[in-house]
Order: sequence, then structure tokens, then C-alpha cells
Amino acid sequence: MNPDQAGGTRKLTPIRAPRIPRGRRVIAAVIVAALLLIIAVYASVQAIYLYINGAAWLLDAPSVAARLHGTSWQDPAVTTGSAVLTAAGVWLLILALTPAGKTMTELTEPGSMSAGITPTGLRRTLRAAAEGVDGVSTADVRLVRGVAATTVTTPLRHHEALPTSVTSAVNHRLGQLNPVRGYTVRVRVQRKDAR
Amino acid sequence: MSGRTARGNRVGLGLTGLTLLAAGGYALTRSLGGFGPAQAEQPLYPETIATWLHTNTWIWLIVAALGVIIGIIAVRWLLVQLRTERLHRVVVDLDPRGIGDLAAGRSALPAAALTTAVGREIQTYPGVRAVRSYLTGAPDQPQLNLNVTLDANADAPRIHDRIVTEAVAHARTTLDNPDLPTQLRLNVARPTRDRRNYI
Repeated sequence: MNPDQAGGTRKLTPIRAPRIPRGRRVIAAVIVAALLLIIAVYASVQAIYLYINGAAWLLDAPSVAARLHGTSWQDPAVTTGSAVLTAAGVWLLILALTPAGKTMTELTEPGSMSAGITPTGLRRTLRAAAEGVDGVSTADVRLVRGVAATTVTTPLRHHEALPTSVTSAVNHRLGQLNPVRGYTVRVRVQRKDAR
Repeated sequence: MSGRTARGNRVGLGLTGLTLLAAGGYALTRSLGGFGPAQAEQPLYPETIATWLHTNTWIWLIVAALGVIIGIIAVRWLLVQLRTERLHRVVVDLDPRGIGDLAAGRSALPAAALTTAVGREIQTYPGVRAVRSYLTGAPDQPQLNLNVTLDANADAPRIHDRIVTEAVAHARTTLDNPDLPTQLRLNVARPTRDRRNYI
């Protein structure tokens, strides 16, 4: 018998932390499902009309049939349409097979807890840390491929020590949040006179 | 939305993509003469098919039936996007020893009682702007989900620590589950403009 079930005792296996969710491809799914629904309903209505009345609904079927009869497979419009269909198919397959994009920056958590912060949220809190440094007027942080590129403006004429202070403040904030994927902090200082 | 929905989306998009790729690939190959020049020169709607459709009208019933089936699948696909798998009740083990018959000494509690309390507690932390708290999973194995929005100038690490060591710890104590799986999602609100008093 499974020890977890023996006598109804508590589960002894360690509970895993929930995974930080990735993107769900909702927009693509909704668009494709809605298009399928429209095409399916239209096709069903036309098929029922054709079966009952022998004529299509709100459509000049004979002229459409004549036009299709007059168009060959090698017609440029057919080639273009086929290429578009093929490209759409490849795009949907890539969308389905590749892992969805991360929507959160995962933070290190112990045990059965998982935590994440939105990239925008991380950017804003790092920006706030940089703006908290003496001598910094404004700050902007961009997170690109493991680099927290921080640009600060200062009214100070002599700001040689500022990059070190800002780097330290941003690194401190990163250390407190402890993202699973580390970031290298790069600081650029722009001098701007205070108004 | 649930993980099942994410998997369903992948399957749906994959099948649709495969169908489009097969149909488009066939048409493109034939259009470019891949099946020979005679095939490429043929009309899209040849006389033979037209004659066959006129004599076999039952095919329209099959087309209609297929359309209805695909339409139902599409409606269901659209509806599952709204699925959340949120728990409304949670089972609490009242047996302090944690042994014996689990069916005895158990009680079902409204999930909102816990999630509201956790949400209100986090809301009192300075710098927290909004909290959304809900339970997912199975009634006897719930997962706590916390979506917390912080002010731009909030001390995010401190709030994060307080959520873990206070609010989540209290929830775990309430449910008598020290390993309650918990997912915390933090966001930071857009900074508000300085309010300057010019008077």
C-alpha cells in the first residue's frame, strides 16, 4: 500500500512550489477560435441552404463557381493565397511548439513558495532604488538579457563616485529581491542642470 | 485561467497550424507545378467535381455536420479561456494529531474567509496598493495565490519579506498546513507625479 494512503496519514512527500506561470497564448487562441467559429457557422448555413434549396444563402453560387472554374491552380492569386495559408500554418505551429514567453521574473523562494515580479515592476523598483541615491535627479532602468542598464541624471558637476553608488544601490535592491536569474548592473550618468 | 487551458491552447493552435500547413502546402506545391504542369493548369473547380456535387447532394449534410462539430469545439475553446479553477471551499483537518481517518475531524470552510483575511492583512502593509488573493487546486490540497501591487516608492523587499513571514505564515497556520503551496506575484504601480503646492 502506498504509505501516503496508509491509515489516512498526512502526505509525507515534500510539496513542490507552484510554477511561476508563463504566457498562455490567449490572444492567438481567441483569434483562431473565433475565426474557426465564424467559418464553421457560415459553412454549415450554406451547406444546409444548398441541401434544402439547391442554392446558396445570400451568395451568387453560379457566378462564384464559374469564377473558380475559370481560375487555374497556377493563377498568381492562388499561389499567393496558398503561401499565406502555409505561412499562417507554420506560425501557428511555432506558437504551439515553442515555450511561451515568461511573464514574470522569478524570485528565489524556499520550500513550497514561489514568487515572481513583473518585469515592469522590477524595473520600477530598481529605478526607485537608483533615484534614492544622493545626487540622482531621475533614473531609468532597462532590463535586457540579464543586464540592468541604468541611466541616471544628476545636477552634480563632479559625479565620479555616482556610478559606484548607483550600482551599489541597485545591486542591493536586486540582492534583497533575489531573482533566480542574476542581473549585471551597468550605470550611465548624464549631467543635467537642476531647474 | 488554468494550466489545462494553456495546454489546450497549445494543442488547438498546433492542430489548426498543422491543418493550414497541410492545405496551404498542398495548394502551393500544386500551384507551382510540383505535381506536374497538367495539374497546375487545371481549374480550381473542375467540371467533374461540379457534376459530382450536383448528383450527390448528401455531401452538404456532412459539410453541415462537420461545421456544427467544429463550431461547438470553437465555442468550447473560447469558453475555456474564462476558466479559473478557483476554489470556493477548502477542507481543513481539525484533527491536531494529523493521524487516523482523514474523513473524521475535517471541515469545509469557505475559501473567501481565508483569502479575504490574507488580503486584508497584506493591504495594511505600508506601500501596498492592491491585493488579489484566491485559492486554486483541490479542496484538500489548496494553493494560495497572491497578486500584490505595490506603490512605486514602496520598500518591495521588506513587503515581500512581510508577506512571506507574516501573511503566508498566518494562512498556513490557519489551514494547519506548513507546506501550503503559495504563489506570490508582485507588481509595482506606475509612479505618480510629484504633487507640488504652488500656493
